[in-house]
Amino acid sequence: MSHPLFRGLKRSLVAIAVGLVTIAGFLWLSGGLIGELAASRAWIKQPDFTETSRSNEDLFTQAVSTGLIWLDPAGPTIRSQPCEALYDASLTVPTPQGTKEFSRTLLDRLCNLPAGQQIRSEMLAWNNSFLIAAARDDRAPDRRCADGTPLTLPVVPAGCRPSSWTARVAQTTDLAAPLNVMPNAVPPPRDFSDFATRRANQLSDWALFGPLRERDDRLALSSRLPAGSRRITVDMILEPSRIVVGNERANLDPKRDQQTVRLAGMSIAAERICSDSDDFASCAEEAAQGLPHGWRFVITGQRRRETEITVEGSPVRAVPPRAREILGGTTAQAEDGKVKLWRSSHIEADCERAKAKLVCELGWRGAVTQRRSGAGRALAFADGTPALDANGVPLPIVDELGLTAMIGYGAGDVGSLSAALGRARTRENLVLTIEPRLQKLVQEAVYTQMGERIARGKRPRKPGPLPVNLAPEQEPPDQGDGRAVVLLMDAGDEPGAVLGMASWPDFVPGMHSWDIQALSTGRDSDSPLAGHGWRAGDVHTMPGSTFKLVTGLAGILALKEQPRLADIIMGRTPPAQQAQIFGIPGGGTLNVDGVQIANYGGAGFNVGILAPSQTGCPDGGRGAQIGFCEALIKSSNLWFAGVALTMDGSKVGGRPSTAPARTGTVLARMTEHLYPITQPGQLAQPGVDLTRGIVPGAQRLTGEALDLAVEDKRNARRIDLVTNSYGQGVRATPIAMASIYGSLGARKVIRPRVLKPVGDVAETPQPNEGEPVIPGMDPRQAEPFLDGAQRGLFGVVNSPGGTAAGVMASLPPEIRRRIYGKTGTADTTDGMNSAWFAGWMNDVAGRKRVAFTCLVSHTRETGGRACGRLMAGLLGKVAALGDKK
Amino acid sequence: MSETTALRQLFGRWLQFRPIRLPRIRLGSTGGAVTGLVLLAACLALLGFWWHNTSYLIDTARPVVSLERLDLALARGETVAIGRRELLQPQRFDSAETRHVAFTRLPDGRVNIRNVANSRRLWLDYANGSGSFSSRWRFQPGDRIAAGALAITVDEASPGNLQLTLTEAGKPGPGRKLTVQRAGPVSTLRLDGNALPVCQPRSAADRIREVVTGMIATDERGEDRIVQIGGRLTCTVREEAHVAAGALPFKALTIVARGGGFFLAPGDAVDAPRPPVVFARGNQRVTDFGDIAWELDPEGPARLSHLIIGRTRYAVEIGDEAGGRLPLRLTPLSKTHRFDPAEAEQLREASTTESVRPVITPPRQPMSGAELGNPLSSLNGVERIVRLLLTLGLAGFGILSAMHQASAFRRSAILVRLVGALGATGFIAATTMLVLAPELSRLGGASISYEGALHATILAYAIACLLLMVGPRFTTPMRVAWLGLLGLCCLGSLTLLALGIDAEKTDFTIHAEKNKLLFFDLIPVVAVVVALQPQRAIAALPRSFFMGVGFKDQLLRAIPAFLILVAFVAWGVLGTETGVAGFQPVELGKIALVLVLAHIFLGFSRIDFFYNQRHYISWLGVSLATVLVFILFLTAIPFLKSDYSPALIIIITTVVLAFAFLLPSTLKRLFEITRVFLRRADAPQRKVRKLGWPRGGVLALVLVILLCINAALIYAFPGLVTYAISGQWSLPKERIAAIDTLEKARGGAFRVPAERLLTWYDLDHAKLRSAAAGEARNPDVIHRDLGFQLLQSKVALAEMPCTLARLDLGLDKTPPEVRRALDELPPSPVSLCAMLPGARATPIAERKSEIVDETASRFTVSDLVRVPVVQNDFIATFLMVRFGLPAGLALLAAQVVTAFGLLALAVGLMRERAMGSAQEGANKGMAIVLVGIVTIFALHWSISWGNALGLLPVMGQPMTFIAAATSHHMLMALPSIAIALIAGRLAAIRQLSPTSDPPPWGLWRGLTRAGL
Repeated sequence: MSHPLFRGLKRSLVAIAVGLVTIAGFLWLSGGLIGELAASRAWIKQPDFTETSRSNEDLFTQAVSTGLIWLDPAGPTIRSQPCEALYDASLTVPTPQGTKEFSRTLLDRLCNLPAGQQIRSEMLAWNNSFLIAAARDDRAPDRRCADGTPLTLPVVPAGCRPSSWTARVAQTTDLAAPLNVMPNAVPPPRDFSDFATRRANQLSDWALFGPLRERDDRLALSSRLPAGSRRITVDMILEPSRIVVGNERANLDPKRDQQTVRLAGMSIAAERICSDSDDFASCAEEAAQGLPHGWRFVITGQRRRETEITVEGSPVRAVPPRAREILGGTTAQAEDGKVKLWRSSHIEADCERAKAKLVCELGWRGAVTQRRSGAGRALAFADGTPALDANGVPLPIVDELGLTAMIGYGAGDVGSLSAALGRARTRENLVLTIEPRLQKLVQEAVYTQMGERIARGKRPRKPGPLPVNLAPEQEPPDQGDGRAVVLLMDAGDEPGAVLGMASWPDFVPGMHSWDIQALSTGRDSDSPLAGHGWRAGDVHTMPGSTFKLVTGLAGILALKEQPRLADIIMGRTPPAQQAQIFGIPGGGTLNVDGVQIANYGGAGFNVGILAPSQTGCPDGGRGAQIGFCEALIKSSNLWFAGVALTMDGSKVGGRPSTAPARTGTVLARMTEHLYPITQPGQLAQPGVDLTRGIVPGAQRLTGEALDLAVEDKRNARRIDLVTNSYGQGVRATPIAMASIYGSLGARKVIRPRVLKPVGDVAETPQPNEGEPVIPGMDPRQAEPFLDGAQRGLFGVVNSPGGTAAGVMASLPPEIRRRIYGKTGTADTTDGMNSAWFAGWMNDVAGRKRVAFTCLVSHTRETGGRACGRLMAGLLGKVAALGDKK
Repeated sequence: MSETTALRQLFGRWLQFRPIRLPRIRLGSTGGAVTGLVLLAACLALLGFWWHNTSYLIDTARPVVSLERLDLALARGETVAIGRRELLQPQRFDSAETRHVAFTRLPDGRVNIRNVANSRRLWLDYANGSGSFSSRWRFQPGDRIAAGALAITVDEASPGNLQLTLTEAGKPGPGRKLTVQRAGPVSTLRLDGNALPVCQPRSAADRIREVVTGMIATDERGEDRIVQIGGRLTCTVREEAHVAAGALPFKALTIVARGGGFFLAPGDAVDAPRPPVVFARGNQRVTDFGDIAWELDPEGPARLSHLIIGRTRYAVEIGDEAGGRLPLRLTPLSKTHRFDPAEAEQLREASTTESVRPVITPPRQPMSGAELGNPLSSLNGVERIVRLLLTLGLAGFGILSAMHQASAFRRSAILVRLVGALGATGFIAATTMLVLAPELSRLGGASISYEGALHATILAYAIACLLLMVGPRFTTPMRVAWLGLLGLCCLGSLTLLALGIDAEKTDFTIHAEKNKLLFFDLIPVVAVVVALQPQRAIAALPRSFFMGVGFKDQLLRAIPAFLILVAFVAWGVLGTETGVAGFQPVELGKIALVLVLAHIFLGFSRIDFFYNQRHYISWLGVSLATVLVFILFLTAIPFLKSDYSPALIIIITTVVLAFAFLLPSTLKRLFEITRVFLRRADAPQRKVRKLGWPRGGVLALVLVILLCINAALIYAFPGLVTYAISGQWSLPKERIAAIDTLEKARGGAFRVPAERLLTWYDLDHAKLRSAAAGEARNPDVIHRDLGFQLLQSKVALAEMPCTLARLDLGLDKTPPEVRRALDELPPSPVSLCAMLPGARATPIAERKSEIVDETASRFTVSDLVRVPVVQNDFIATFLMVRFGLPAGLALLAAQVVTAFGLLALAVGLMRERAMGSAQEGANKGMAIVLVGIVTIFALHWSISWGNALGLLPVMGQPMTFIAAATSHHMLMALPSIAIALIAGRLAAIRQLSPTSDPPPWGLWRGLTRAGL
């Protein structure tokens, strides 16, 4: 082997072996690299982030439990042991529980760790939120933020327009100390949401001054304003006593809510902003009671120059009334005395007055989970028009179509659809079910109606670029209390797909993000993002007579238990006999435990019953009769109340009670079946659906019955049942009503959706979706009854006695005959009504069946008039788009 | 000595002249001439790629502009506020505010400067060398200051003496008198005539630390903090004095002393925001620190020379009044921001007024000569001197050595001596001149650009390649390793260049320039010098280090031991994660430790050889003691330092070396001993005595046990922390529960390492989440900020193009189909990458505005350079996302080739060649060192890859040759390369004539006794 040839061979072999090992090593490593890269790609689609870490929570909880942090009821401020106590133990502050030994390590963490710093700044924010002096104005010159970046969002984000107000404490010495602007602090949105209801565009951030020590601090807030060039609005949270412009000064009368001051050639209109609570006669009275309030100054002038304006006054104490009741001292009598205080982003206190002692539990609010902002997801309308840009910010068309409330104003709008898109697991592009052409029609119809009704003839704003520097006449009108929703939903081939949905009040671009937050937390129903189509927060969403359909369908469901209802529903039982069964002896009113139930206008049970030839209802050959069909056309409260009592009377009978319990009634079962309420907590994970996308409103997608608690000894449950049967005391969202009417048209339960299904992710099945309208009944057996109901809805529009026949008469017969609907009018508050019109239309806009709902609240008109007129115009235009292809 | 012998001494056995027979040239047996030529071609191709892409990257970069200067012209009585827009800074957390600095020209002609920013600070530098933040109020007698409810009256303020009266509103009685007397650096503080009591005395450790730190670093340019005011504490806490003021938050205000004067400054209040402050002097009122004005050009030396606004430093020049306006000029000096020309023009136009006139530079490519000028300007004076000294020292040594070589062989022909000496001198001089091109061009009055300088360096590399690949000096493994190193240098240089180009600020250009000037430039010089050293000198150096017995040899051996102790102790006691005063001594310690360990292990594995050499044994004892002390020190590391990654690297290296070099001989010996006993041979005791006890094995065992204790301590470190807080020793196995425990652990003194671990634990590497986890909606990542770096890296990596991007292979002429086919050659890793979901083929966009394609990712180069510490820990991320997966694979390949080449070289050195025991010992010692070097390199690379991919917690260990880590490269990589090259030459030596002294001793003797 010592021959050179062998040596050479051996060396070559070694070289080859080493080379092979190197190559193998490289391949192995590069394989690992690729694997890790693949894992990275998969991973970045997953992670969530939270605003704070759990260590904040741990530290806070530990600090509270060891007495390092406590709530001082006098403030109510949160106090903690000072950081100095780290160096000198004698500097500890006695706590309410006495001087308790606390953990020095914990104090060290609270003083020196980032987690502790965050807790301390939260405590500071809490303590500063009770005594407030703040100011902002709308002097913004253009569509750029103060630092020059173009304002791309329709909302003015925090930090875009810094407030230029400064403040100082007016002291007796010659050194007037300035106050700091508290970094990142804002007035508590919930308490000062009244500012947000007064619309103004391009308002700046609030400058919140502090630290304030005493209620009696005399403050002077000042700024240089370009007065005179245009009207300038200044919001101020301050109890002002004097306004100074240059050398001139004028006192303000604290007892007047509105006053105008003329100073140095300027006119300053001052208005006190407070909640419109009925408990107080005026804002001044409210202010005297120490409720959160502030002032809005509208400054106009002749001269075009910068002027130094100073407002002197004292800070405003902003403790919520219930909290004050509990915390305000021993004199206040607490009833059940519980209040939750939430004055900073993360700290909350559950307070309760137990006898003379106040018990508060401080807690750290859990972190909000947010998606890491990844690449923006594409979102398009049904016709392919893109809705979001590459950054996930809605394109102008979204605002033009009035869909900002639904889609949100960007990925930063937590809970909005645009923010939720990143979470969608599908790899396909997401498509909205909304069709822009239909949406435009719907939106136009609502805007025209509400513009005429509310703005006293003034047209509402035209959608377009962000308004700025508006002349007074250009400013959007105060949209008042009016609310309107119109929506179209497919009930044919794509059941549940929302085709168009417009709501009023509209989202007005140019609002500050604080105002939106304030409205969302403090004045939910006034929020431009409320999305009334799928939220039902209050009494104004009682569906009135449109709910009668549900009662009638419940009657069909009840056939198993009470077969005699079959004849009543089909009208085979003579009216007089029915009146007897229902307990309407005179045929005029129904007496339920002393409450008189009557038809609209007081018409008797038998009055005005039409012949089948006129109504189109099933003809039993008995002449004029009254069944489900006729009762719908006539909108007979008495018939539906009677049916409800007949089917469920025994279940709510017995001992009079005010306890709310509807379980077991057929009416509740039917409501649940047609529109099951899903709570967010119970939602299964994946899939793309409406309720997940729009989180804040999810729990309000309800069709549940309200409790109208009657305080006397009468049987409140029985009265509830009767009134609920014709839609009083029930709340339902327009989207729920459209689904229910669409379900009847499609003969199966349909659930709403705003995104089209995707191919690669299986959707979570919605409860009851696709099931027959009458559960547990053979569809063939149910069909005659459902057909009767459908004929009734046809008759509402087409028969001479129908409640919508009058307003629909303007439509050509060939269009009218495709419409099935029901009007509804619910008595809400102060003699105001909520007017409804719900139903469906066949063979229209390229679809087999399109369900619709219209709701106009705060109106004195009936459903037939307010909504009928609106829908007649809309359906006429929709019909002009063509039939089903 | 004959010419032939002399030549052979000079050039090895390559040229063998046979004067009688026909002369024949034998293609060297050591290196393999053909292999050498092939590798040379590969090297040249690589250098060509490097050369071409240096220009390509600069040429194809999008032109940028920056602020050349800001001209202000102030009329009397005018105030001009400048900020971000005027200074052409972008909206970033570290740039100027919209209104940051206000210049006011008073009616009397003086100019004042004020910081009008809301929260950011303004640093002022004066011509006399002092500097401070602008928020300082100089006390003068009669001043009255109101801070919240505290009133301060200045009774006396003279140099070295300050007397204040503190009065609190609502507190009856006379105010408190605070006096400060300052003599030299010591100030005496008295409150109402009494010294402040002591709350907490300073510990001895604090004192030592302060003394040593004071020797190295200076605080805010000679500004001393005298006393903190606010809160209820009146005493000193570890020498920091506090005076109570109930109306103010704790530490609300500070009194500082600077240049004999006393100033009031904002404190670092922790409980509440700083109170409002009003200063009154006569009728003058100044509200708050932001309103304090500083005179620009007062009498005397305190003339304002520079400002730091944002992070950019501006020179201030004051001109002569013309037309009623006083011209002021602000010139950005470093870290200037780059802008798109159109955008900058817009900004410039928007901010230009009669008084403010920003002047922007003409559009130019980033990193081009037009933008940066001579790259030398990125170095400070010390760095320039170090560079010059190192380069010239190495070159001078090489040349002297060549001369010595020529003079040592007096009997050889003059021609050979001349050719040899002049040839070597020529090569060394050429290389040196090339790498010193920036200095030479400056001498010559011209200014070479970074690009030109880099081209010169590439030429120097070409010379080095030529010397390495041609001729018999090096063996094939060394050549392969050199090719790998060259690849690493090429990729490292291009990556840093690209980073410099992409950055929105010129700060990253400094990394590229520094790394080139202080590291890449030195490699070819080292290579050429080592390649041209005479064989005898090369052989003598390791022999002297490992086997020598003389005093000089012992001195040589002492160097690394000394370095270890000094470097590590300095790092452990003083250093932070960024080192001591910007210098990371641990890097030097790494290579020094390898040398010491090699010495010890060699000694023990050849104990029979060294048994009777007393000197050697004594030095072995010293080395051993060094290592033991070092290990004890390591044990304390988890308690002293938050950064334990260097300790981890060293432990692993030590264990690897112990296993590789001590265990085999020990086992062999044990085996022999067992055999002796089993065979019951005659006189087993004698035989055993002859064999000796396996001392090396015992040492290895001791070392490994000690290091295991260290490793266990480090491993159990989170457990220790947890124990300190929660009384639990071990971390739960479930990830979420482990995070919870770590969360709690985070609160203690060991916050930082636990945070690093947390991040690591937080990352969910499972490819699929379990259904249960999905339902529970437990967030995978809980700490937005803590895991920020890793997350950013992972996000960036997800955008990595699968094909080569923004680098030019010079395949312009090839059809696109061929290029595509090359890119997606199945079943290559590239094609594998292309099959992954979301794979991209195109490079990421440069800027946001560039994206036209709606479906394209929003991730841009601007986002990439904002990955935290991208130039260091995450350089691999940058390289892969910027250049695509093929570049990443090339990097990996270069690393693998380098590592395997060096290992093969070590194996080659281990081969016994009967060259005499001493030389074999030296060879083996070098082999141990090589394995140590490879281990350290591999660990650095693995940790860096692990960081980039999110597999390991961020450890702050740079990727050698790629990252911008000048001290790591200079102190660790460069010596490693030099040692590897020496080992490479050693491996090529077959036969040696005995020699006496290693360099530099031999050189010294040659020059003194028998010079030319």
